[in-house]
Amino acid sequence: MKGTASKQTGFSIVEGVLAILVVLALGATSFAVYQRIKSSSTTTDAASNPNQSTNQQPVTTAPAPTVTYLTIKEWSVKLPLSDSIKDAYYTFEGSNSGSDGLPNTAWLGLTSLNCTGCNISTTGPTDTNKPIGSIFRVLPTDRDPVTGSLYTQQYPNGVTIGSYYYGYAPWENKSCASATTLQSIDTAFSAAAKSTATATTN
Amino acid sequence: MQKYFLQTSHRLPVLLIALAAALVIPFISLPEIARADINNTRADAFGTDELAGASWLDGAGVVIKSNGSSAGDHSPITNNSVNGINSGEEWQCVEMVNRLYLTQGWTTANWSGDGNTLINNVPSGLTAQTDGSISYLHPGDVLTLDGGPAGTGHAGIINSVGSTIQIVNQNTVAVYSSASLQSGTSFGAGNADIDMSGWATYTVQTVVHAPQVRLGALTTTPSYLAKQNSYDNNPWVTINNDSTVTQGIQSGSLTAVVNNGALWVKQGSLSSSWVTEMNSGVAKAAIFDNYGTNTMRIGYLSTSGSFFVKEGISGTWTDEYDGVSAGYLAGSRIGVLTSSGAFLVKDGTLGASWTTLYTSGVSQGVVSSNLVGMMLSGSFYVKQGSLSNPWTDEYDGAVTGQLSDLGYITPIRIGVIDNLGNLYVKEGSLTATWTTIYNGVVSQAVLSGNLIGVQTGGTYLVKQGSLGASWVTENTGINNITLWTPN
Repeated sequence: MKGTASKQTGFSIVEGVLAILVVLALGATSFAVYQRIKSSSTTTDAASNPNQSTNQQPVTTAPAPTVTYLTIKEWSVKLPLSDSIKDAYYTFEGSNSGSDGLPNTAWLGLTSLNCTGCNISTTGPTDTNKPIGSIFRVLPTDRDPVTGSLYTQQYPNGVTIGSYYYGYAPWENKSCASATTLQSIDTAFSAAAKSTATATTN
Repeated sequence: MQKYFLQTSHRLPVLLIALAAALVIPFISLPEIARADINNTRADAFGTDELAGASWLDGAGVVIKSNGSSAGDHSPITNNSVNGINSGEEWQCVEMVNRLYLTQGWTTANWSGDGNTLINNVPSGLTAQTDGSISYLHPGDVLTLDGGPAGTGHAGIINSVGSTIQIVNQNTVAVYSSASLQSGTSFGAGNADIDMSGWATYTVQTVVHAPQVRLGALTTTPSYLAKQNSYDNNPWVTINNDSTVTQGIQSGSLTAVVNNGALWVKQGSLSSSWVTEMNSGVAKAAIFDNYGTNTMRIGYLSTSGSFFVKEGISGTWTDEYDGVSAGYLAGSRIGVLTSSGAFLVKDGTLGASWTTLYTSGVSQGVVSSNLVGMMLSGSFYVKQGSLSNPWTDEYDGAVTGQLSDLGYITPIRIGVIDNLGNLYVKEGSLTATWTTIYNGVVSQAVLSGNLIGVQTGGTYLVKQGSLGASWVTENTGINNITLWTPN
């Protein structure tokens, strides 16, 4: 059994104040760095390139530090791409049209998975090549014609910009990578869809 | 007596309450009352009749049922059947497709799959075209889609084809949906790409074509009538009722008439517009189309005895042969019977070389894509395959002969009308056994795939399917018949 008479080991008031100041200083520095990176990334938007195909929009990367975007110029929106989906591209081949007559579904692929059954670069979805998923654009009041659910509820990973809701719909039954990998890719695209933003087009 | 009545001042409020109760109580006591809202089947009870079969596909549809409030399975899962054949899970989209096709006799067994996997199990005899490579579309065709939240896609039935395409669906919110062709694509170019407006996250996958039939009849009036599709509820359509019409023909998507010496052709719907292919000087016409299997060809025999052929509606005429009494088109083959009784056939381009099959004495030539036949001194001779193959004497004592070898599911057929007017047909090979198809005076017989048509005493009879199938009286007051099917 230990003795009952113990030495005082806690912070003094002064020490406590100092510890708080250290934490505050670190926080302020981190915030300043974050703001600087954020400011830099919006200016390195890999947006529209008028020479690129309308059906497949390769991703343009800018010198680091950057945020890579997938710009869907037909809709004037862009999605920030994390590292795991930085080689994303889209095609409107096989898309149906929305209320404004524009394609309503941008099928998504990853160049790195093109050779394993997810190459939708020229044909859109086929039996042998399935997309990773799609970014779709609908009115917030639109419903899935089969389930009857609002797209906004059926695919909550999205955001409303102006009159349209932009969401991510994973393609079921794809097998061009391990289930774990595909799940992480879906998660990354979902996050990207939630961060969809207006893109400036020339 | 007065004590049994309410006071006047109380009567009105009580009656109003009673009326309100009468209106509300049925909805409280009967929450599952079946009501059909074809624009929101999800609000209807599982199994509700949404659309009667008589209300679509020109009356040849099947009942569209509600799958209830959700698109998924209902427990316990029950399968429906048609004449004992499983049509699939009630009331999924694929069940309706199966029920229609089984009811129409277009399939004879369950067509298994989800909406997006039906394409992997297309029944024998049906043909599919991938979206973006579609060359024709007809009511009754199956449209399949991939994608969607469940990953099982969807399947519906084409109900009408025009500037917009109407689709009838089961297990969707709305029974009807519409589509159109993507800009820059067309059936004529064989690259039609269907756009299902509003179906975000889905993609049109394929069209599986229903078997098609077209019948034509030149009446004694005269006028030219036609009807299409294998379901019998389709009415005859007056194609041309000018008293000067002398010939009408059906082949694939083409309809042609010779009217007052002019050749008019229309493509697609029976109600589409005429194209004047030749203004005058046409004695008789020949057309061939098999929905893209071979190049579409249009031909005419001029009143001066020359046979001209062109490829496509807007092609250029080629004078194929002069001194001709009859011209024939089938597949990649062109045939002519000369005024002197020689029978010549070419296979390939319009400029291909002629092969003389017989030099004189031929009274009738018959050309199909892989068979040729001729009537010579009362006998019908046929050769199969290469034009240089030997003739087989098929029947002695015949008046005319007919051939068919373009059916997707029907073996070759050879038919003859004998001196007494009886019709005999053999199926499968040149040496098959003859079957008596019609005992009596047959004025004209036509074979196409699994169809046999005869004109006897002005009555137009057709049988579809096996050689032993029953006759259906199609029309009366007829003096010339034509028919076509890809099957």
